[in-house]
Amino acid sequence: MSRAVRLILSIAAVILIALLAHRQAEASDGLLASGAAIGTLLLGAWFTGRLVALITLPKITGYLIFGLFAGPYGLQAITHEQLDYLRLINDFAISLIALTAGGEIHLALLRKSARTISAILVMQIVAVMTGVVAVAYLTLPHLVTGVDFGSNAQLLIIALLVASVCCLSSPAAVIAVLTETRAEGPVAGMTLAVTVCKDLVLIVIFAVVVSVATGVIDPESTRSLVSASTLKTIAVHLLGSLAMGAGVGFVLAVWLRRVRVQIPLLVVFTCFGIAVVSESLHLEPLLVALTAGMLVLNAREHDAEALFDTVEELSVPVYCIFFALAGAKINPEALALTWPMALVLVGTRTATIWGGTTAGARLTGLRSAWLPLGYLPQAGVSIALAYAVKETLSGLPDISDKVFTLLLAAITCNEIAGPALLKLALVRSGETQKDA
Amino acid sequence: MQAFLVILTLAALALVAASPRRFRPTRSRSAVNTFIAVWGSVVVGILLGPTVTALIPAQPITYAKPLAVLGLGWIGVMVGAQARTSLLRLVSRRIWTIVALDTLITAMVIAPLAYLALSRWLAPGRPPSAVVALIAAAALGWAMETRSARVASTAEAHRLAIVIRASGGLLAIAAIIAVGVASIISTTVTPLATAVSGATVLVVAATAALLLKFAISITSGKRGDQLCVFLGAVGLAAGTAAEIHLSPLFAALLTGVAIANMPGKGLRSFEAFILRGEHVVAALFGLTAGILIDIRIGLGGLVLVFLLTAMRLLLKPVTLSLAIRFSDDAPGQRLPASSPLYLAPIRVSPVAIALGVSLVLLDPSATNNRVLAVLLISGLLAEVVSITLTAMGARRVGATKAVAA
Repeated sequence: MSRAVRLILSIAAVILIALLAHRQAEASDGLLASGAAIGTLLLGAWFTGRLVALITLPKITGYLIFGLFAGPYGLQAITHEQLDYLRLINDFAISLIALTAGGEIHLALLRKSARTISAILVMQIVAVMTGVVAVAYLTLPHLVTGVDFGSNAQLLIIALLVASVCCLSSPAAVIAVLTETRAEGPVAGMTLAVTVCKDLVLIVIFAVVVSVATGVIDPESTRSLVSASTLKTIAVHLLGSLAMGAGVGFVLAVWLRRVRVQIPLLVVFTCFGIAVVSESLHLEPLLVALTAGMLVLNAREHDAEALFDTVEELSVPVYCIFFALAGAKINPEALALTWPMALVLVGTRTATIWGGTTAGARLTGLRSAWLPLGYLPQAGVSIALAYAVKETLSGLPDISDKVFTLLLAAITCNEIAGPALLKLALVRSGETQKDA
Repeated sequence: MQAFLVILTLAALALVAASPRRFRPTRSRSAVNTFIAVWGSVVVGILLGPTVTALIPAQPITYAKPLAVLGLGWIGVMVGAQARTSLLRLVSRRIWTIVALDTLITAMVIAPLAYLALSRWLAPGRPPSAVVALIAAAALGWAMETRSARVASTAEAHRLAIVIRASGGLLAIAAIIAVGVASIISTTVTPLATAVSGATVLVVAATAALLLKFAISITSGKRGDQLCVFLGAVGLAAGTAAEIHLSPLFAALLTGVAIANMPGKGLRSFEAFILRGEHVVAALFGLTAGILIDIRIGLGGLVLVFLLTAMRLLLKPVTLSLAIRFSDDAPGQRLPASSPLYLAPIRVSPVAIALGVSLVLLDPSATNNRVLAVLLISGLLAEVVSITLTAMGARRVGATKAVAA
């Protein structure tokens, strides 16, 4: 029996066991059943990752596909109730992925490439914001039917919200593909650095756009379009995350230098700690863990090896569960309902990312035809921003639902196709390692 | 800020409590080291939990429950993996005698005692049979750690240590099977339903083991992949059992037994890989157990604690001595007539913690929480008593070196 057939049978067995358990459980207890959900997602996603790897797709595409098929919108081997109780696991995964990302960023290299990173970052944001705003402004009223988008100002602000979500790439997906392919080189380095920096810049941009949108949508609002309190909140959010990240990084560095034992337990506790504390202090776990990872790598590079070796060991189960969970949240109905506008949006985003990246790279003399493909993946943070857009537009229920569905559809396309395109870029640039 | 302090305290205490040196005590002050091991994590959990400082908020505890199911699965597989038939064939008649005698005495003495105590104090009326079975099962066997008992390092003492460890391992398997069978019987009303539930657990465990075997054959020895498929198989077996309100430990144990007895390259090294994580899992699990319990067990609970501890103190050394006396020494397998090691079985098997946690996870009722508290407190007490008595005995005979078993 070929390996592919055995993998397919294994995936079927995992799904069958989960369905059998749901059938036999008299009253579904989401909390108790969530242990089974972890097993189903880990094992099923791992097998699917191996299966898609046979056709040279990245494994995370397999993890996403498994989540989609087994999730509540697919075969319902994983239910909504089970997903609700996996939030802590998801936050843990985000922290570990960000810690990995931080461990890849050498400050010396960052300083050396600062000009190129800034140029690509600025050109990409300008190109995507301009392009997507223009296209959304012109096409939304025609392609999303049955909704009145109101005044031109309102339509423009909706277009701005859509554009700021489209701008975002997925640091998690980038890290996962780089880890899997063990890619090293200018495309890998630049993709990671720009994606991470863009994530930080977009947190600010998105908060400003939401503030403006609230003012435009709710004319009775007394506050100015960009209030001082909004800016203060953003500053506290970012600086607090950086400060906590520095604190965590300092503790990790001291531990690695003085204690040096129990590294796996240290990593597990650190990531859970970041997940729990960030939520209660309203900080950005991604930024906290990223800062901690960067600090450890750059302050104690020699000692950090043990830490990042452990992080790498934990990365496979973490990627499996994180991306399978992301896949389970994909609603294919959204794509079916809004596919014409979603395709326009995905096409515009791809074209503007391509244009902006190429322009930024050329300005600083970097020549790489494949680099733009690295910025296409989207995942969890983009979905979170889509929810934030829905909430911002909650005063306009019809529009809010349609825009949210449209964003989910576009993110679904980028989520599934993005990692494969990134892997293609790395392979074509010759930056992947043969044994990966 | 409270959450930040929680994590810092938790991390620092757990890391200290769980260091390998404390789990594998080989140097001085062995009594302190042993006591700290897994029970140290339990104490830290109790200190951070709702009844002492309430530093851990309720929500993270709730969301940590899926992880506790994984922990139970890990423990179940580790225990089950010991039941390799090729090894079981080597087990001497003497060890089987000890296992049989301890099981008999526990069933005849501890189980009725647990029933009486439960019906009188903790769950007035007719106590659930699964809970009675669980208390009795938790009393089965003893800790398998003997290095900390600092007795003379003679060949005889070494053999006795091996007997204690081997019988402790087999009794841990028996305890999990007893609770698993009791959970199946207590959750079903007709013989057909009992058979279906039993068959479901078997099918799930066998499938998880087969999937794991296939997965391991294609991991190329990569640790990240091994960890992923292991956690996946454990989660699938233990989680599915928990979802249908059966013992997650039992399903995981069966998976472990199946894995241990399957032919296949890479499975042996994989077992070593699983064992590498034992102290991490034990520390996390001890913490979870400590956090989950409510130590306000009342007078009835306290009486049960003292009864369970007293019974261990009286019965366990006698059981071991009797079984050894009534089974003949094979040539060259003579055991010491007296040794402080005979007091080592007073210590409670760490599997008792896992059994208690599984009870609370499946049904977090007030009674079950009190039962968990009783098990943990009596375990702690037995630990202190055993360590003190063994140390006193060792001093009296003037022993200075640890038994390397």
